[in-house]
Formats: sequence, structure tokens, C-alpha cells
Amino acid sequence: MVFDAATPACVSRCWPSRIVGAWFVLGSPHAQAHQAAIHGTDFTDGLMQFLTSVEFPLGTIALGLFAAQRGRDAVAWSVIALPIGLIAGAIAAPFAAMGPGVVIANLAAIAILGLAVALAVPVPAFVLPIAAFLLGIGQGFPNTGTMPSGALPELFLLGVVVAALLCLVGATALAWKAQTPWQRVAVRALGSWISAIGLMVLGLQLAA
Amino acid sequence: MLSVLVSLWPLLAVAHIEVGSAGDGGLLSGLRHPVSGLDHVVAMVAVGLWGAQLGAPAIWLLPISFPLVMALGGLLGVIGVPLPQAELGIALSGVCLGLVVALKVRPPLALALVLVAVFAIFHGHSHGTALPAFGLPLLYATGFVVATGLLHLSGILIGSTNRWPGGELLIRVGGVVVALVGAWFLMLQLPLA
Repeated sequence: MVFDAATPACVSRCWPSRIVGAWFVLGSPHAQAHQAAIHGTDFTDGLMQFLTSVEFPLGTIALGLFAAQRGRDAVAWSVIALPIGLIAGAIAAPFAAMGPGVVIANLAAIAILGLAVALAVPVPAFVLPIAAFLLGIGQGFPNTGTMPSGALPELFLLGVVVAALLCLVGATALAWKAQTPWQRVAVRALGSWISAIGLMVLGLQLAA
Repeated sequence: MLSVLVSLWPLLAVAHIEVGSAGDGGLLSGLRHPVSGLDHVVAMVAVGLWGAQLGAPAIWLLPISFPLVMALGGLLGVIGVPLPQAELGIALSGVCLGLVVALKVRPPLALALVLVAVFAIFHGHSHGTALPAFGLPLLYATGFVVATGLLHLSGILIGSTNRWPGGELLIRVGGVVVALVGAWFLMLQLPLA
């Protein structure tokens, strides 16, 4: 794409985000006019399945913030372990029914990871990939367990994995950018908010 | 940005906790709940004011610890543990927090945290008791935690005027207003007739 000298600076800066936005819209399930698009929406469906919930992004964002607090190695291993966990959960989904335990585990993960961010718990770096793997299993299981019939599991799961990585990497980048004391406090406050949300809804689930 | 927002419109979202839920009690209801009661609002703002008045580390410890303790109070409400005179406690929180700001009380940090935590239990219990009545509990909880946090932030921002000439007086007057509002709600709770 070429911009001449008269092009406003913000237009030339923003064109990648516009292309990404347009791609999201054009990839929506409403655009099924083509033969080639029979499975064209499976990826987007997986992406939306993850992003339009609250519990999945919240847990992954808390993981990303926590990993960033613990350093570069923790982030790197979390980025690897989370998709593996998601795939493992997806593979397990057809063999077991989704009970309330999965929902409770996901809510508990939100509460625990949020609390860990709020307290900036100094855990060893190897704890993060384990947490990421377990979180991935907990999130991969319900997401692909409710996949629409006829969808290609590989594409749907790819959408879920990409959405999870977007949340993880986005949260990590946010926490890494937080360099001043105030910004670090804001990250910890965000963790306490996430933990508070998880804790209360966990209580509701346990009481139900 | 607009196109991304459009694409995020929920088209297929069936694995969520909200499946089968009825009613419209979600994010907006949660955002509204803390700001719908003046007794809640003044107490939340007072926490931020006091934090700003006390300075570091209280300025960041109070807003971090408050939501967590509030969630514990909410948990008690959700699981049905009764908290006698919860509304009285909320009104008292306005009076006490308003007075400590107005009088510029500077207790040890641990004591300040305990005081705020005790009142957070009452506020959380009130939110938690309302939680099961809403159709989308996760969104509702997200809304009210965010609204509560933003109220703290408002208090901190108002409190940050203490560096300006007359700012300290403004904060202390704010404390008086909070205490008066709390006293009004306290009168409503007490059978004075």
C-alpha cells in the first residue's frame, strides 16, 4: 500500500489495523456466499467462541499479567504451554461430559491467577507453564466440547488457540509496558479486580 | 476499530456460564449497582480520598485490597451467610471514612487496612446478596467490580489535588460531605422515631 505525502499521518499509521478489522468483519459467518466458504467460518467461530465469553479471556489475561510479572522465561514457556493445554483439553472433550467441575475450575483459576497478580507472588518460572497448561485444558475442554456440528475441529480449535494467544500476549505486552511504579500498581489493581470477579462468581457456582 | 467491534458481536457463544440464563442482569446492571446508591458511592470515593491523603503505600494498598476483601464479603452474601445490619454497616462506613478524611487521621497502615477491610465486607455482602438475582452473574460481577474500582480512582484523582494550594482543604471538605451523607443514611437505618 502506497501513501503519498498528502496522506494524513494517522491514516498511514493505522492502515494495518484497518485491514485486520476489515478481515474480521469479512470473515464473519454472515458472509457465506462462496463455495469455498463452507468451512470458512469455523476459524472465526472458534475465535468468537473464546472472545465473546468473559471467563476465558479473564483467566488468560490474568495468566499473561502474572507471567509478565515473573519475567521473560515465564512468558515464553506460557506461550508454548497454553496452546498445548488447549489442544489437550479439546482432545479430551469428546470422551467426557462437561460437568460443573470444569466451570468451577475455570472460575477458581481466575480467582487464583488474579490474586497472584495482585500480590505479585514470587513463584519460580517453571510454575507458569504448568499453570498455563492446566488453564489450557480447562478452557479447551468446554470450548471445543460445544463446537457446532459439521464444523472442522482443526479450524475451530485454531480459532480458539489464536484467540487465547491474543489475550495472553496482549496482557503480557500491557504488563511489560508498565514500567513506572504507578503503572505497576495499576497492573496489580487489575489483578485484584479479576480475582474479585472470579471469587464472587465461584461462590455463586458453589452455592448453586 | 469499529469493524473489529462489529466482528466481536456475539455470533456463536454457547459454552459460557451464561447459557440458559434469563433476564438482562449483566454488565450494565453490575456497573449501575455501586453507583445507584449514594451510600456506596461516597464510601468508595472516601477510600480513594483517604488513600491519597495517606500517600504511599496506602494509596495503592487500599484500592488493591478493597476489591479482594469486598469479594470475600460478596462470597458470604452469595452463599447465604447472613450479615446482620449490613445496611447499617454501609452507612457507618460513610460516616467513619468521611470523618477520618475530614480530620486527616493518619493511623498505622495496618489499622487503616483493617478499617477499610471491615467496611469492604459490608459493601461486598450487599453486592453478593444481589448477585443471584441477576441473569448473567459473571458479567454482573465484572460490572460492579469495575464500577467500584473507578469510584476509588475518582477519589484518588480528587485526592491528588492535595498538592495544589487549597487542595488539602478541598479534600477535607469532601470528607465532611461524605460523613454527612453517611449520617443521613445512618438516620434512615436507625429507628429514631
